[in-house]
Amino acid sequence: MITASGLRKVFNRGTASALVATAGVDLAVATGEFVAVIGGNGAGKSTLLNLLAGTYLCDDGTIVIDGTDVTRMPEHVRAAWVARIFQDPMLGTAASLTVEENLTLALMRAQGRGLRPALTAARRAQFRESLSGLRLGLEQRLGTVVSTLSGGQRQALALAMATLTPPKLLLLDEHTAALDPRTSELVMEATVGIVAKAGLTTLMVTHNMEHALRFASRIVMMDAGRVVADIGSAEKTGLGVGDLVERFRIRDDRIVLQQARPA
Amino acid sequence: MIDTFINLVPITLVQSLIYAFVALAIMIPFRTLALPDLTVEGSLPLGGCVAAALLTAGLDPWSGTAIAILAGAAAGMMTALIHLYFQVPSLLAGILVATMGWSINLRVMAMPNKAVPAELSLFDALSPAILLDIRLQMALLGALVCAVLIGLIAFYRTEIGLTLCCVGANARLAPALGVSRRRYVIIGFGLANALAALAGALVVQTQGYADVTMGFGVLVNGLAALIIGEAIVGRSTITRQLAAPVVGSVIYYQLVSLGLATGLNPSDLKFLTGAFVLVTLALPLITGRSRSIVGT
Repeated sequence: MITASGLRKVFNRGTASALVATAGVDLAVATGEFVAVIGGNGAGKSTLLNLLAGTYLCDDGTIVIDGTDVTRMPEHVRAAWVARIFQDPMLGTAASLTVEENLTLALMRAQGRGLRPALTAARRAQFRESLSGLRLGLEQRLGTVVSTLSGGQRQALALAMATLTPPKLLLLDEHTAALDPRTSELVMEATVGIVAKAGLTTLMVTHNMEHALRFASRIVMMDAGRVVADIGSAEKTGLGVGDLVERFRIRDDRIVLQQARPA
Repeated sequence: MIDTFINLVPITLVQSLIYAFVALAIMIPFRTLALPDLTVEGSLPLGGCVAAALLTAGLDPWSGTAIAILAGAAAGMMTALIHLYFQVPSLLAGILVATMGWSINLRVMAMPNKAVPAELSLFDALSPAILLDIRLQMALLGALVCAVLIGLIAFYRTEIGLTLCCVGANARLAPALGVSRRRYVIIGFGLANALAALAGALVVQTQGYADVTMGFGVLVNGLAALIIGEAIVGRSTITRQLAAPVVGSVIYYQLVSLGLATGLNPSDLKFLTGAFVLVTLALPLITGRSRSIVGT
């Protein structure tokens, strides 16, 4: 159970360019729920994700993860419970390190670090197993330097890294937006597969209404730094992309374009 | 002329093995943390001066050298703290620490230079024969450099060592993987400058005196050594990356010795070394290749 209450974040506070990014977000996510966060540009979606991850600390409000108040915990401490996949494939992996080194770093997110050997046969076996589930052939390329992988492969690796140790909260920040449509589908399907298998509590920011409708169990709509609508799974059934756009009068070029595209 | 060079090969080798620690100290923050550090110009003389002061005050050379190493680590950590908490660029933070270190060194020794008699040195404590025989010095320092190199390779293969590389490879990713960037920058800078201080302490005990000016120019020399080493050994794996400064140092100091033996004016040396570093920095831009040799 993830509870965020009254999350408020103002950038450049006290200056003329002060920007209210989130104006008091209240959101409770039950364990195992897959929540899609949608909304126009500047609605506060990414800020919400950054607040939950601890990249920014909120000005007001509290964040509780399974009974632990993490509000004041910096990002690297919160990472024991929160895993994240970035939109930019360059951000989510360490390009100059190998696939297995990246996975080892991800494994240590939950386990901590010591002066033990980083790469062991047992770990390699574990990596091979978790990568083979992605069906992208990465399990054959443990020793490959990540900078030689494609964007889709890097995002798949980021997915494997985020879920190697099941986090209490998985944050997906438009993680398929930078990929071509086919790869985007592959990575999305792999994501949904892993999330369902491990029953991960997931928050996914997306501009893809179709993904939100098809994969999420709940859709949260943000506008001007607040949650303005919350659609549960029962209500979601039967809604189409057009309904969503119409219902929320989304003023977002990207969403409108996707709606206009023939299905 | 060539005879002069050949006669100088052993003594140059001893020198280059000691300065290999400086090249390592430059490489560690620069390559594995992607954060350049200038503190070596201060931590090398700090190590030398602390060792000289302690040894002449009667402390045994083992403890004296160990304390000198710790002083260097402290200087590196100070640079890291200034960079991390006051958001001073790492280069400027290093210049500040190195500059302030000058005054500290004068305080530590109470004079600008200090003789360290051979009988007080680490080498004499091991065996009085060492400082009299250049071959023994080569063997001993060669073994020491190898041991440190193997230790560093082993360290970089541990979880903490790999995490250090992660901080350099992707600073934005590190906190998302539960890594405190601050902690690892402090570890890396401390480790690097401990090595530079070790070099300072060894220089003092081989040449028999410490001088507050002994750090002048070591950064550019070390950088030149690193560039040469990386050109030969490469940097595709962490083992190569760690071996590069050692190999580079050995070759660089022989090249300098060759230059001096063939009539190069010693006072022109810093200009030439600087020009060499500059050319290797500029070459990829001039020839239009996208990847710079130095840089990321």
